[in-house]
Amino acid sequence: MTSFPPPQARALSMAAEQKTGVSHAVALSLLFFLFALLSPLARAAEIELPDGPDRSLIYAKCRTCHDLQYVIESKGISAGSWDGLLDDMEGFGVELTPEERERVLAYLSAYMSNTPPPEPTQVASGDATAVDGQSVFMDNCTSCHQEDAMGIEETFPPLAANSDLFLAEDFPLKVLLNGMTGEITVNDQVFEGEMPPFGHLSDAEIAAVVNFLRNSFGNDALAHSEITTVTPEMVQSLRASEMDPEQVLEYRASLIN
Amino acid sequence: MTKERSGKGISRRQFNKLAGIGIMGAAVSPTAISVALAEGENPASIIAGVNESMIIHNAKLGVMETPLQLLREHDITPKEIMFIRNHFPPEGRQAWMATTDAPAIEDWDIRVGGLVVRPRTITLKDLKGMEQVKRVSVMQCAGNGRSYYAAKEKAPGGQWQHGGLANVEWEGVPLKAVLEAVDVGPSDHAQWLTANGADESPAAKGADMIKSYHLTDPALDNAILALKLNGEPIPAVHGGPVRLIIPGYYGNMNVKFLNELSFETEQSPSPFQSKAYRAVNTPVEPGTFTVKDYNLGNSKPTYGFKIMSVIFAPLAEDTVKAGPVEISGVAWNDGNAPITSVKVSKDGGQTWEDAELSLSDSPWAWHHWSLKTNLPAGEHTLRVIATDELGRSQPLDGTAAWNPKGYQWNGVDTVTVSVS
Repeated sequence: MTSFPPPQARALSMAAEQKTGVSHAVALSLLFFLFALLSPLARAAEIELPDGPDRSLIYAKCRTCHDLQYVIESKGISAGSWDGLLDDMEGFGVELTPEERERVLAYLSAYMSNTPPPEPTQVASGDATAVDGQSVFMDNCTSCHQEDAMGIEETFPPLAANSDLFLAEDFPLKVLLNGMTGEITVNDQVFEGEMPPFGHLSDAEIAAVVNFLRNSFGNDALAHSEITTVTPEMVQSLRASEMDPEQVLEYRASLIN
Repeated sequence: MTKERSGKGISRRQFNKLAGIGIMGAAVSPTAISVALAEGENPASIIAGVNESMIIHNAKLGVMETPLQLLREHDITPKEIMFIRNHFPPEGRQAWMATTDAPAIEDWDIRVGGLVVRPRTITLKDLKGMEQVKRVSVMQCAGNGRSYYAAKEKAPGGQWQHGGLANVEWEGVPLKAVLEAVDVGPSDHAQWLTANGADESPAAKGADMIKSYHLTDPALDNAILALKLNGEPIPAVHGGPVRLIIPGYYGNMNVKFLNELSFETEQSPSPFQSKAYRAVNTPVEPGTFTVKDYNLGNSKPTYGFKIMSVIFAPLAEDTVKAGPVEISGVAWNDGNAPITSVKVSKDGGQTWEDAELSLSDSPWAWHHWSLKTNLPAGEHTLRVIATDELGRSQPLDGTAAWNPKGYQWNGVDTVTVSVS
């Protein structure tokens, strides 16, 4: 076992888990009805920014460390302040190419100013074959899952050799549309992070990235005959049935058990 | 190991959400529940055990401030309503930090090293065996009050009002006693003490939250390695099991989950020390000084609190009847000199009256003040200003101290009340 994560933190994590389980297990069943009844309407994971060019870059880069309420609360700061803020964030760890930085800054200075331009009218969702799944992956997934799709231990699961991609044809689509929250085990490793929703991506982009992932990073070896190539139309039809990130986790559990 | 953790069939978030609603269901009316949920996530679903009325600034990070209606109800702020400012999401290997419960941990090591002859480790058990002291002190976010800078130009970040503030009792071992006990033999070249905690960024190349203090800083004489908050082991979310507490210093200087102290020639290059949480040495104006312009020469870390006072009652949302009224609140500073005067204005700052000031025993605690007076029907603009023995006071226009990141607000508090 390597020293990452620190053994101390691991021990702590386990101790906290055990304690939680023991002292509160009884309360859980009693509270189940309340849980179903009072699920919050608006969740932080679903905070949306105004639609505009390169909005998806902000979704992709910023949500690794914090949700978008910080961006919303900062709305109206000067273009110079957004520029300085990006310097800060680069110091804290966000990785942006000079070209990406320019696009992020352009979006924030325009759409998060006090005088934002009008949001663009609906863009046609297009053809999955016209969208490059690898580009969608590189632009949207790598801040957390990393360019080699190996993830980060205990926080961001790998997308490489990940059998979750084949649990059901629609499972990864539902994860992308709704996000997923809670503890999961992938390849015998436990992760407890929050996958935010990526429903802002187009139907074609979501279909393309799932098709790309199912054929890359060693995942093709896990493929089976029940899984076909997904289409933008399938994504479109799934948008109608919105789920909580927790419900996606339950759906996952139902597919495993 | 994996089975142990995954066998519960319920995630932290799910559990916390359930637990939170349980607390809410027991404590508040159905109306209050619907209000809290309509505004977004239940704070207790993010950090288990916190009050459901906390104001969320960032759900993923669990950053939240205390409504003054709650804060004013206690002299010593209970952990359930104490503001939270963490820098990394309490997820993954840090999921244990998402609770007001103490961490379930016995084995905790603090490495003491750097430029020393004998690097050593001191354990939580060692610390528990040493003489404990108490420090009643204000804990305040450096960004507390940031939203008020918007009157000049909005500063980026969470738009805190006055609720990034608490008054709590810490208990632990004096830092100097710990350093003496470990006897690591620091080099004569060591100028700085650097403190690091167990929290880490989720980003692959994320910076660590590290702070440094000059070894000659007299504030270190009062610093403790705290093990308790308000008489109980420190909640995980507030930095347990061990937090470095420097009374009178802004929150970020009080390193949570402390697991490393090191003697260094220079202060830490971490951007949390060298770029963020810095106060400019001379006044700056929007447009002429930006985040890019900070350097070690023109700024310093947000060390001690600026003198400040806040009106707790009446607040704008209170119902006030014409006639006798008690205007009250708290005042505090860095503890280096007693507060000598608190004055209150009922007419927006044209005339001022002395409030009665009740100094706390601890120089770092907040001090209550009040003014019994009369308010006729109509709208009144209340203001309050504190002064200390060193002559330090608050600017009538707090935006004079505008800075690019909106730290250290200490403008005169202004509350407009409608008296019926």
